Amino acid sequence: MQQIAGQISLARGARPKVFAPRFGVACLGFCLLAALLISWQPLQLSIVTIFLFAGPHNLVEFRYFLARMPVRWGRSRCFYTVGLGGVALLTATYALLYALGQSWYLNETAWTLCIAGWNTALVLWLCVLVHLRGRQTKRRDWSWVFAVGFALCAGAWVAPVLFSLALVYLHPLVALWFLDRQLKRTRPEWRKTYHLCLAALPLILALMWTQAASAPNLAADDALSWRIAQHAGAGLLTNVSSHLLVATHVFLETIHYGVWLVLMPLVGLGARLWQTDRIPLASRRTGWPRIVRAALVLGVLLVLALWLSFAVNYTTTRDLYFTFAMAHVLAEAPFLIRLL
Amino acid sequence: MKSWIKGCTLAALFLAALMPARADVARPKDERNKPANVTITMRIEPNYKATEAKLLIPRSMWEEMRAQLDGNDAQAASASARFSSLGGVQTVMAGIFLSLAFAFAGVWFVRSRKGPNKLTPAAMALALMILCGAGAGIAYANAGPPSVARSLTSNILVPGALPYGVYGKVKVELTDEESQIVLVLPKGKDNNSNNE
Repeated sequence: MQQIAGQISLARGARPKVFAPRFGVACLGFCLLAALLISWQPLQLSIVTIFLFAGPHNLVEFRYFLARMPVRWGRSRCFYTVGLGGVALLTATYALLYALGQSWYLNETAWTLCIAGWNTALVLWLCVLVHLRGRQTKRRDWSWVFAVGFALCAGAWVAPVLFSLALVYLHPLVALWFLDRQLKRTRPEWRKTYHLCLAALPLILALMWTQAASAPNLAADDALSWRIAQHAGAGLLTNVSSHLLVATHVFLETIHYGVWLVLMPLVGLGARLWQTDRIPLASRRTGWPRIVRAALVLGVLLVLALWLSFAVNYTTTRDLYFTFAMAHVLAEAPFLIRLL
Repeated sequence: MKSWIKGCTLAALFLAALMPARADVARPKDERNKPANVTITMRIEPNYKATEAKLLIPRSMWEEMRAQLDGNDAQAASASARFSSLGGVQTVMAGIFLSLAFAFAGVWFVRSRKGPNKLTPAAMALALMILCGAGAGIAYANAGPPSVARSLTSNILVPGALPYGVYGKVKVELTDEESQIVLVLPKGKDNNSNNE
């Protein structure tokens, strides 16, 4: 036993600590170029990036989640039931709130209270997931999550709309956490470089903000420009330049798309997008290969339909996309918590 | 409990303690959303016959300001009104959740102390000091001005009110008779003894 333990520790110690300069240079180069271009033309690049990458990145995320889903849930049955049930329920209520808000069935006060309630449900759902995950290992004591969760709920009731805006800005960063966990599993030698890139991200953002802070507000002459500015919080943070807000949001979204469309397939999928032989749900004897393949084909068709809808009516499609895309935002939570 | 969690907790506590200080810092000048800009002379008029403070605004000036109050300013006014009006339900819910957060944090803290990794006495003392500092900061920042500065009367024209500025209720009226803004100040209670 001691020999085996010694060999394992030797193997761990002997693992080359590769500093992946090419990976780091490519990441930083991409971030800097994106920051420069987006600071220059935030509105135009917002339209282009959502049009091109929104659908495909959802497809890759779906493919990744399929690959991570076990055939038999076993001890994690409760975790996956709460996780996937929460995704379905919260997405449905979010879409309902959006529909009611659009059709003026809710006045502003009622809508604000509903949003606060939805945010509370979201936070408590996340707390339960973290708690369930923590219970699976005795070494972990994650009971502090409820204290943090309730404090966040208080924040959600004090400033519901700002809380929702915070989610808009925080969601793109979740992809960076996913990538970190995935690198830990598959490319640990890249992790150090990746952390250096992460440390540079606030500096790039600060550079963007110093450039855009004094910029005049974006001209919201048409419905689309106005909608993009509102989505970035221009209607709430009126003392901040809408140029800065839109640029920051588009930059974070671009990083999010970059992670899911380039880096995660590189380090996480372990196969090509359409190859299902490494997806447990499709390859195991007790799995459902036909359903998995059909789901992937349906995903590709949905991406094509999204592009077509964007081409026909960009503004409405964008609004609908960001409403139903809440499903992928929520679905990230159980899979990320599962990776912890 | 991992040491980085302790570090993060202490850092969050420290930042929370800084908030009262930051809250009193004046907002930076905003060059983009300039407010409605009308320059006019103003007169402050102690009037011992008046029963309440009045701010008389010339109607022409009011209409000029209204004409400027569109676009960004109207949007800003609407947004700030939305945030400043915290409903009763929101306050109650926030209070309940904050209480639950403190209760759960307390239970977790007590439970975590039973483990091998206890918070060091130094960290506890530091946290206590920061809490006390935060409390003192809040108390000091919210210290009220003296009574002379809490109502708009002719008493505000005395040097004692200068360091604090003054505040109080004022009735705003539009008038066609004045060409400048007039702040009418009724006679203050303390002036009775001084004048008589």
